[in-house]
Amino acid sequence: MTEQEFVAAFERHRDRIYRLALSYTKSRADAEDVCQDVFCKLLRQPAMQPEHEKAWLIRVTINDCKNLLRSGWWKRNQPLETAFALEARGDDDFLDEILALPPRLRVVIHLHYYEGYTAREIGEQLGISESAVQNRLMRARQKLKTAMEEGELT
Amino acid sequence: MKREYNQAMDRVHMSEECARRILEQASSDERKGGSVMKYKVMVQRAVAVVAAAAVVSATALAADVGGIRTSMTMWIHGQQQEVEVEKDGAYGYKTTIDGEERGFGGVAIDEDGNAHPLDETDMQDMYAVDVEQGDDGTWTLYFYDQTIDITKDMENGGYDNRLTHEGTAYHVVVEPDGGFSVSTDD
Repeated sequence: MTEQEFVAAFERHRDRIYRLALSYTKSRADAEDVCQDVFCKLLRQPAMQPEHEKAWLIRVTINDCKNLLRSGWWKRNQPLETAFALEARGDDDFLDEILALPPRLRVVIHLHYYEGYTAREIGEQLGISESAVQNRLMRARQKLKTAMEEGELT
Repeated sequence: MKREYNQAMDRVHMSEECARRILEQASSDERKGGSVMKYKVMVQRAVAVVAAAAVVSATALAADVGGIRTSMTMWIHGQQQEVEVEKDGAYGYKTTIDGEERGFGGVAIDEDGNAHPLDETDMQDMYAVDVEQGDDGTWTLYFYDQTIDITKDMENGGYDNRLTHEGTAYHVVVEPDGGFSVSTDD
């Protein structure tokens, strides 16, 4: 794609990709590294239709995050609270609970509640069945409900 | 839950510094596979190093001191070679390898968040890890003094292994598109 097309795509998706990477890695530095890598890969792609472009970016971001978490390089270089404090959190306790979930539950929460994907679409993104996505969403909700009840949060 | 999560996430934005780096990368002419973005070196325990093995644009950095030439010993294709390099911006260098101009450079960020140019040892290692695909479709991984045929691994979806240099173990991953990442295991 041309530089112009790239810049337009970058501006459309920069925060989306960063938020997804951050929700996965819980580290601002790692999320930025993932973003650099993802957009570097986008540069080498031909221009895409908007919906395809978004799905492509999300899929590549998830794969990059998974690779990062598997690598020896990955380590938390700032505490979770610091990473999100810098982004001016509001309801600290609630976000703490979501971010305390395992990565594979966090990502379905993010894709479903923030990106608005259906379970079927999330399954296609992650390469898992729709029922597996439903299970993960259910487990995530149960864990959050338990955590919030134990903490007597509303 | 959806409302609270969305409200929290809506407050999260990519930093302008990160955006600037990405856009500079897009306007750079020197893009070579994944090595441009992914090569990192952990030099010291107390120092976080960001090594961008690309031409570092003089317009993005403090001072343009281009034109200064020096020679440097660098690992290239499994051998240590004396290479003539030219300063490019405050933190970058450029050189010619196999007839192809390449840029490299980077900064080390210390614990106080201050940026310092990488030292010569770090520069020497810039191309110590490199991946090439030959015209015949074979893949070669260069890792310091090792030259490894990784064709079969690439045919099976990529290379993922631990290699050692001077007593330090590195985790080397080469992706199917030739992009690679290197990390230390500490």
